[in-house]
Amino acid sequence: MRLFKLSRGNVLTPKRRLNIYADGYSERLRAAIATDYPALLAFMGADAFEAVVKACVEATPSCHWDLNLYPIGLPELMPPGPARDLATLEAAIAAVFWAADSAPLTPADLTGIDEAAFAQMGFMLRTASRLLHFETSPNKYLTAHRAGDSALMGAGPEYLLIVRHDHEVHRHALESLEYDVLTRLSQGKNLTEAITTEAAAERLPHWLGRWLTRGFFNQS
Amino acid sequence: MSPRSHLGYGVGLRSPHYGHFLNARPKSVDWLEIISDNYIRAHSGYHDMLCDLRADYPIVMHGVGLSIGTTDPLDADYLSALKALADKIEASWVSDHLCFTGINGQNSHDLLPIPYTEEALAHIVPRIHQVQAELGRELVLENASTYVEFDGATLSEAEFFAELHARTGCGILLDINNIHVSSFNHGWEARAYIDAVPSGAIRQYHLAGYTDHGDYLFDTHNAPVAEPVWALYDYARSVHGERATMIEWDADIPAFEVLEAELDKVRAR
Repeated sequence: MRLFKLSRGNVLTPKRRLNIYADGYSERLRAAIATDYPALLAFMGADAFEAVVKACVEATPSCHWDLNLYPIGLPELMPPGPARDLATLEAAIAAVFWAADSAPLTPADLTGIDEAAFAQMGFMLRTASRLLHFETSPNKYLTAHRAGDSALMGAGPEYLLIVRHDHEVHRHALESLEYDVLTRLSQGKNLTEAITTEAAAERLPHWLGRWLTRGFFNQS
Repeated sequence: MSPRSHLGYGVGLRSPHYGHFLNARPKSVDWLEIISDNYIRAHSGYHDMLCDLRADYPIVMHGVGLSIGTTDPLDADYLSALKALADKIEASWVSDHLCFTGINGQNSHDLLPIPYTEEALAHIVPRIHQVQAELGRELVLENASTYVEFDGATLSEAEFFAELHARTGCGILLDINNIHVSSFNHGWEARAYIDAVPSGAIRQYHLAGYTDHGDYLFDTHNAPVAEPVWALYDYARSVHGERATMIEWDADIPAFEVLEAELDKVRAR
């Protein structure tokens, strides 16, 4: 069977007809990426951004029905540097927005737990969260961009937890020690194992209040 | 509510209008259609919103990701999520398109046309049965706008739909705009298409705007319903009767009042 026929009254060639679909495919993927990376577009400029997007579309077929997942892979195709850091941050925000729900651990969940048992507890970060570390400052750039301010990418480091809580994605700047503790907790270590310095132990009560009220951890 | 009920006149629920629906609950809209794919993986806040709106509006689920025509297996996770949301929001019915969206695990995110042959019927009929069994409800399929046809097709699109309905009991979402777009692009007679569709299968009409590229029409859903589509809608109602009708507007989404004006035009006909 020949694939494509020219219908009566038809003025479009089969090639042009196929191109309607081919062009539409590229444009849909391009638009999906542009939607998720507005700050990256501002940082790189339109020409450089379009080049990155085009390379991504050409290199990466979409393999899931959910188009929202497609743009999340963009940073992996970029060379290390400030642009990639900003892309990683915007990708994390999108990934967290679309991640599965989980109930947050609250202060009430810890009621009645004695000190010894508490020290042995593990705390797993929310399913809808990403722990990030950058040597540049993409979060400051993104904040300025969203405020409509002119922004420059400065030196880092930046430590962040991106978490979806109460149906909104929040960016929490972390202390470096706090980032280390959360990293160890996310690796399955209990609280005693995660607190490895006196300084961290001193900061723990402060951190814990924020972690629990802002929904850093899964309930179970 | 019976899936055959005439729900009245609805619009697609789109994010720029969330606030208006949640706060004002406009009575000018009888029912809402959602794009299923935008919600089945979304967090529970969206599901809570839909349940909230469901108290005031019947909700129809309209998908683009089922890919009933592909030779890949049906996506069990997709079907499971579709059923869960349909049950949760008590969807009036669940629809998708007669098309395939990808092959060999790759997705085009487009509604690609299938050849209208006995071989294709033999492939798609059991898949519709499978979907209907998984969902526990009738599947409603829409005619997509197309830009190519397959040489060697032995049935017209309308005849293919009629056969699918006869063999599976599936419903038909008759997109009047898509009939106009495809008929222009392929040079066939739109009214003959409407005549050939079985009345008893039609659950719903879609109306939308398109973009005129001169030598072809492109289905863009970014404009008011065009005059030839209104005329075709009148003809479809004269042949098949009234059905739930909705205005699709998916790009360059206007103020809610513009959609309301389109609904007024539907009601005035």
